[in-house]
Amino acid sequence: MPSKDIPIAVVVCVVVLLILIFCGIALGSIKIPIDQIDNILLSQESTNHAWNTIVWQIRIPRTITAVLVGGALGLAGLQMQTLFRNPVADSSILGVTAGATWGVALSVLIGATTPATDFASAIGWELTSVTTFSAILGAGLVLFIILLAAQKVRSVGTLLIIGLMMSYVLGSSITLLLAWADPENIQRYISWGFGSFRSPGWGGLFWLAPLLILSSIMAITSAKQLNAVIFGEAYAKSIGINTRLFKTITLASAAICAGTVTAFCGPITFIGIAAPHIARRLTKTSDHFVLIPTTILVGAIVATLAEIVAQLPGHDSVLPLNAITALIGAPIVIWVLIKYQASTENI
Amino acid sequence: MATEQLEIGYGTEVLIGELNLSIRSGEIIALVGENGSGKSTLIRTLAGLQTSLGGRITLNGDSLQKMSMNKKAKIIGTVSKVTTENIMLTGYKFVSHGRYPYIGWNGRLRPIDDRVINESLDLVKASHLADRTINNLSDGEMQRLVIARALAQESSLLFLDEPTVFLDQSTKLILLNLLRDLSIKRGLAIVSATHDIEYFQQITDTVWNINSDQKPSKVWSSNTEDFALDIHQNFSQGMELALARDLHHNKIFIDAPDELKTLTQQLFRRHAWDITKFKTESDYCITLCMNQDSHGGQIRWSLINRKTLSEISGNSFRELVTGISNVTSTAD
Repeated sequence: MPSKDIPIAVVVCVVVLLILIFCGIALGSIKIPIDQIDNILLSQESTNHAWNTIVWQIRIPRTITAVLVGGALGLAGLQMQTLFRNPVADSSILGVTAGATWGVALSVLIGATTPATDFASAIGWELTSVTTFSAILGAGLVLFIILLAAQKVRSVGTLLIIGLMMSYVLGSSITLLLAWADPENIQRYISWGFGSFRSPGWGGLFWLAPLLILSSIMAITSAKQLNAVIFGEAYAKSIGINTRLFKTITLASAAICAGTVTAFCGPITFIGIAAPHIARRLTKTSDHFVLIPTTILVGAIVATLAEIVAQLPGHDSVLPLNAITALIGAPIVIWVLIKYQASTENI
Repeated sequence: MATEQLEIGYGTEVLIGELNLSIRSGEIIALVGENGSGKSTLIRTLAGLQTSLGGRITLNGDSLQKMSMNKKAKIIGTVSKVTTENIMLTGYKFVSHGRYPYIGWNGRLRPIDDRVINESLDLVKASHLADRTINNLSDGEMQRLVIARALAQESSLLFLDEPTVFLDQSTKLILLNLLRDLSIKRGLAIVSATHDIEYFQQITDTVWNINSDQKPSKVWSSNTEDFALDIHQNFSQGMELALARDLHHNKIFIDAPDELKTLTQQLFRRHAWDITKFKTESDYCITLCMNQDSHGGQIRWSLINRKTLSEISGNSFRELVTGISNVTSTAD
């Protein structure tokens, strides 16, 4: 019975996430004893001042970023899969991620020659801030176009195609920029594309956290509407849902999430697609009042786990985050799908 | 509900115009017409799920077009095909969607919502489906839940789009009995688009037939009282009916489009004529056998035979056959 599985799945996810959060803070390229970690966390004091700095200035913001980004991306993926009734949809499907990437490509590949970078430089922002600002502008531009299209276009299928087409156009213009860019800038652009939860730091979290919490609240308050649209728009209307308003809120929420994450952490892939599938299989329900909290937890777990593995505990080097999310996540998704296939067919 | 000069269609293309319809409390209406004639479009428009291209729809005097979706959902329930593939919800959760117009954003069901959901499940005899997952249900079981969900909305008007499609014969009859009970017990007005008029005619009060003419322009409604007049109107729209009779075997052969044959059968039944056999011989021919001594209410029957419009009436089979005989010989 699903009702018995729900609390267990959620409780297990909470416990696993708490363990991973602790591991995320305790593990890294520098080995810090566990008792020292406790001291640092509880009293912010340690025998080694550097450890204090590493934990508070690097590992804690990095772990918080992973939890927030993972949860928000999972939630946005769930929204998109439900709205478009497409199992491989995530927030990048709207073209907003491509918009943010395009903004970054403009600033990184061309350098300080765009109005966005000029403005950012003029107010004294550092290079990373300029990149972030460009990404937000690019994502905002695509978000504006998507919301405009949502008012004109009734079919979600058409919206999906518009989002895909915008991604193609933006992707092509990035390819053109790459063809003309300096090798050094190309290298920087590729590094940014690896994705990272370390980039924002406390400064980035100041902007990242409120935006992701805002987009998540918009999604959470739409659970009833999401439940209704799994049977299509006409069905949702027939039970009193204002589908136009719902679409606008959902698209805006997913786009804010995708744009913010891409701007601060790079284009993080996979979590948005995988987390909802794992959550569905764990809870054995399509009820969004259950799926939303579970998806947030699963997204946060996958992101935190990927971040821990990417840090290669005990080594100096760091692996590309996007490679890790898919390397760890894809086998997990396949395993979960196969393991729970039989049980969901029989409930 | 009533419509005034309603125009329905898509974009700028008017599918059907000048619709002046009314639906009374407790009335059961069957909407018939060929594929693509606009049945579903009419259902969706009247249910407020699709915008009309012109005219007005009023619900107890208020404009439907200006009503919020939430308010509409408290008055109008819709039953249409639901795809349940890969959707993992229990029957109870599915029916609880019918309470969405009444509950807040957090989806918390109050005791009254729980009671209405259980009552709705009980009414459609689907309480045993409450804990089952909907993607494992048969079409008939799912159809019951869809109706239960619409009932949980506590609406007074129910629109159904092809509710009997994909259902086997016995399930069709169960569904029709259910609809009739709801109409009688709850005063629910029911409008159903259907190709299964031979089933629906057993419970329907009114038939709306979307004209099969190439340029559909009118829907005509029919109450039991003026049924003959409706057939007359249908004939004058250009349908042709060929009749022959076999006095020795008490048979009337009718060669007419399907919907007309059904209406004819319904006409005879409404007026308490004793039909011993009503059999579809082929796509275009039916045989109507009657008890020669049967007497019922008077049948007024308008006929077209070889483009001649006539009207016959009779209180007995013999009078009717004589009338047909006169019409056909005049036409000859």
